[in-house]
Amino acid sequence: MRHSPERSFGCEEDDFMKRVYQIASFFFLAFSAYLVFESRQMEYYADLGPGPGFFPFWLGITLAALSTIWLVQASIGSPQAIEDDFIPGRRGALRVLSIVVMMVLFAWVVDFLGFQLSMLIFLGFLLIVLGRRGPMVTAAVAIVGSFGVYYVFTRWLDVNLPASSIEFLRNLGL
Amino acid sequence: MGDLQNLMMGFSIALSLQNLLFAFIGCMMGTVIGVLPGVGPAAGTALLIPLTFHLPATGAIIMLAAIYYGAMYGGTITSVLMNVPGEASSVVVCLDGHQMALKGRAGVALSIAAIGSFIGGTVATLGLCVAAPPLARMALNFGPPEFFALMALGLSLLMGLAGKSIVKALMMGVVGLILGLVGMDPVRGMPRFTFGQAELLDGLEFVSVIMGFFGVSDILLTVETEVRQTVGAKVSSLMPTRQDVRDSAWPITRGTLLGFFLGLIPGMTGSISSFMSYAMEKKMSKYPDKFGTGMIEGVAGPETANNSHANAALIPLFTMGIPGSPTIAVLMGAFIMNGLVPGPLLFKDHPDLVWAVIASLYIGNVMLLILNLPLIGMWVKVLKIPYSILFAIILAFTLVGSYSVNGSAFDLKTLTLFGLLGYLFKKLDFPLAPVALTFILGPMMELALRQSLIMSQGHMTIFVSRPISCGLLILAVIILLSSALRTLPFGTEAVRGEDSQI
Amino acid sequence: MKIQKNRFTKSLGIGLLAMSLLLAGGFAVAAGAADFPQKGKVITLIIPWGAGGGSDVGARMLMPMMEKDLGTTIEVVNKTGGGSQVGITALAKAKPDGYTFAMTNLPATAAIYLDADRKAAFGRKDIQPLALYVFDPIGVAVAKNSRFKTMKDLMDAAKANPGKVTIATSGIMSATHIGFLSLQKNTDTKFAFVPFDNNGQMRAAVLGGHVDAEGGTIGELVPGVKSGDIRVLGVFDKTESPFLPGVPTAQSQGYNVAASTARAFSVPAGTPKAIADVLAASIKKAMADPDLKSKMDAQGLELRFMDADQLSAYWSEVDATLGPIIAESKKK
Repeated sequence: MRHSPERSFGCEEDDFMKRVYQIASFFFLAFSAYLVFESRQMEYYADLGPGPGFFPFWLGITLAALSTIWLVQASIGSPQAIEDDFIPGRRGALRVLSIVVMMVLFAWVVDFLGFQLSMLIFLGFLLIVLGRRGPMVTAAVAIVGSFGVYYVFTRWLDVNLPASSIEFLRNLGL
Repeated sequence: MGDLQNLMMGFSIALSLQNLLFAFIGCMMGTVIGVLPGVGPAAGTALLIPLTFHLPATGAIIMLAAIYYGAMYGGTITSVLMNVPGEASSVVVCLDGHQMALKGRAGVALSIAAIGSFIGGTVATLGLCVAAPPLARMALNFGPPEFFALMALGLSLLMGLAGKSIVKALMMGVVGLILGLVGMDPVRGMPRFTFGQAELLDGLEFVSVIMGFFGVSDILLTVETEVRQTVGAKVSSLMPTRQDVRDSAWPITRGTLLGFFLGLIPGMTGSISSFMSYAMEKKMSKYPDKFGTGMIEGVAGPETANNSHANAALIPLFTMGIPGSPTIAVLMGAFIMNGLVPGPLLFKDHPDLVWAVIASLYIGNVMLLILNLPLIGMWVKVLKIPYSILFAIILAFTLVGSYSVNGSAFDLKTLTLFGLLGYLFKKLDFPLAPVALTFILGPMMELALRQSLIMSQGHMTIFVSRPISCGLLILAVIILLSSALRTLPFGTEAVRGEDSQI
Repeated sequence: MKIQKNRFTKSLGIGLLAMSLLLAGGFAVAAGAADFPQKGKVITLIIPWGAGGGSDVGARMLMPMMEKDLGTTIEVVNKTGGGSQVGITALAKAKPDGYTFAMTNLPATAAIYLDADRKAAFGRKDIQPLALYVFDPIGVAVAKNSRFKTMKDLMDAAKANPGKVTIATSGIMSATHIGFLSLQKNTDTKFAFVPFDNNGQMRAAVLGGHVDAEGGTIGELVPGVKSGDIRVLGVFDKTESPFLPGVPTAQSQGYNVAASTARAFSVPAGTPKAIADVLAASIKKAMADPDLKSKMDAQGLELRFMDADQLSAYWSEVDATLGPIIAESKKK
């Protein structure tokens, strides 16, 4: 068994993975419960064969059963070693989080700001803050990635990327 | 018209300058995708779909197919040179391939891999030529009950083989089926789990889900640790010795056959083929304990199997319209976007297109063989692009690709959500291949079940009274039972196969 | 080029902002047909179906002629999802100034807002019909070796064994399904409808003998007739189809049914009539292109123009047929 002493989080390290798996299986159980609950609102059996609610119900039950088995397995089985890279460092977690946040932000603003501005901001942030690249490289990649890609996709490939829905920006060709 | 004549006609179309160019571009882009860690063939092909929206149908499919099998070649390069698999099918090649590189035999490993891939790919394409047209004619006997049974068989095999823990594989399989429920149900047209979003009525966008699972999640995993730049081994002489060729001959033959037959079964992914081939070579070898120290058999077999698989997997797609792996499902999406439905009638209604694509598979395999070896230096340079720039570029491309499929910002949220989910699943050591496959096959199975029951006025007996579906279902039950018996849920983890990712 | 333009305009940013605000505020209301469309102002066509599909390709073929006629660019945007619900929602929310129009196929569009389960964000009143473009009636077909030789054979079988004759359709509340539901209602028969995801699988099931017959639009059936695989028994239209000479209509065989898919264009409700008329006239002019006609003929698609009033009347007919059918299907 591998040991990674500097990574223990207050509890015995052998228990750590156990705890993680237990928490995860509770999430699966909660999800199954939601599924079963929702499926009861739907028609269970239609005139010919299973109705809309049939599969959600049984899939929910199956998932719950499997999660329970997993929970038991993880709880009574021999403790598992924490994989060396299981817990991200503080910086690593921040990087993951900021990518997710930036992607959600992009999805949110792309129809307002238009593709070009949104992508410029997206790439600029990722490269400077996460990639720690210099301003020259960042500017080059971000401009090609936003204005360049927009041009190539809309003009050459005939694929639409959104223009801004703000009249002023739209008139600027953004 | 005979099939040979058709093939000749296919060649005449595929050899047109325009289509050669599409095949060439596809091969190049595919290799880049294979080389880049973090973008596998499924995400990579999906990523590049928008490029083909307004190409002629034949050119679009030729290009996407080339991207698909090009990625299979490309993945090997990084496995051998830097011990970083570019895609999952090449994971096992790291074991002996990189050891060979450390001994100064990287060039030999790469050329044997390329030759094996070429042979595997070409033989499988030959098999496709011979077997597909009669299969397509036979496939008319496959009605909804048979489709249902065949998909059930594929899923049971996947469950039986995939993952270190069958419980986890099953859980992921069920999660995939649940994700497939989203949208209008095929019975009443009732929206299920759509949360009032019109965007979800057609179900979760498959391309975004795949790119999230297999593209974004990998990036999240990579950026979590301090990114280090990998340094590659030097490429020495490419020429294999007489002994190398002799040692590789049988592994290549066996790999070709193994990959071909596994490719035919829906639910098997290329990485299953390459892992099984490695295990087989180890078992057959006189020196099994030397595996992992740079045995050429450990490179030749899996690489061949993987490429043979890739081409053979087109058979169930072309003849029945069943996608065997997530990557093939992406390809199927491209067919449908171009107004072509893969299935029994494809050969009949669009012979020019199908045969042109098949001919392009031969051409592409030759192209990759000729191009890849001299260009290895160039691919290594691609890897010199710092990851701190690369990750942003890949993310930007997933965003563009995901948006342009439906022209919808909603899909970007799907992409992000599944990137995050994939990341968490991978952290918890869940295999992702079962989710993707059941997500694709689940709705098709529910529809087939519904169709069958309407045909039989609600009698389940339709599945056992028809000989083909009955046989397939019995097989599926046997497989499920035997794998369940081998791994009792409370036993220790049985390591069978390896984790099959895509 | 974009970058230069951007740099250039940056310095003029504030000035332009002021100007565009003035323009937007001052002239938008006063704009009439005389200055529609303004030079250089892009018109957007929303296609709620996927790129490369039949509706998409057909509409894109029309655009070059319209662009020439209107003297401006038409940008085609595919907004897919929810069986055209996403794209039409976008249309309903767009500014009614004539610079946004969309494909609103019937009966698909009506099937969205008439079905309460789909929680559509728009209704009939939010869409202003512009013009009809393609009219594609429904027909019923069987495999060439089928025991059903005429529509009467099929209907008699359905009468004798209610709910046992299987008809392949392209999904719940698709145009073909709706057509057959109305046939069922008008003739007091009962079929078993087997839904399929796409026409390829449907045709394979018919040829394999897994279903008794298929419903499809003439455009979908013509290739199968040409290859000799299927036989069309009846067309659900008032007249015979020019692409299937000799195939009788359902009505001439004594079954009262009319059903079709209609590819139509619409603008958001509230678009000034004068402006809408400019667009409709342009569509009509573009449809006269001989090259377009021969391309559509090859696909078995009939070009049929209707102006806003005619289309509106047809739309109301569709609503009237569809309402009860959807209500019926929700019971049980």
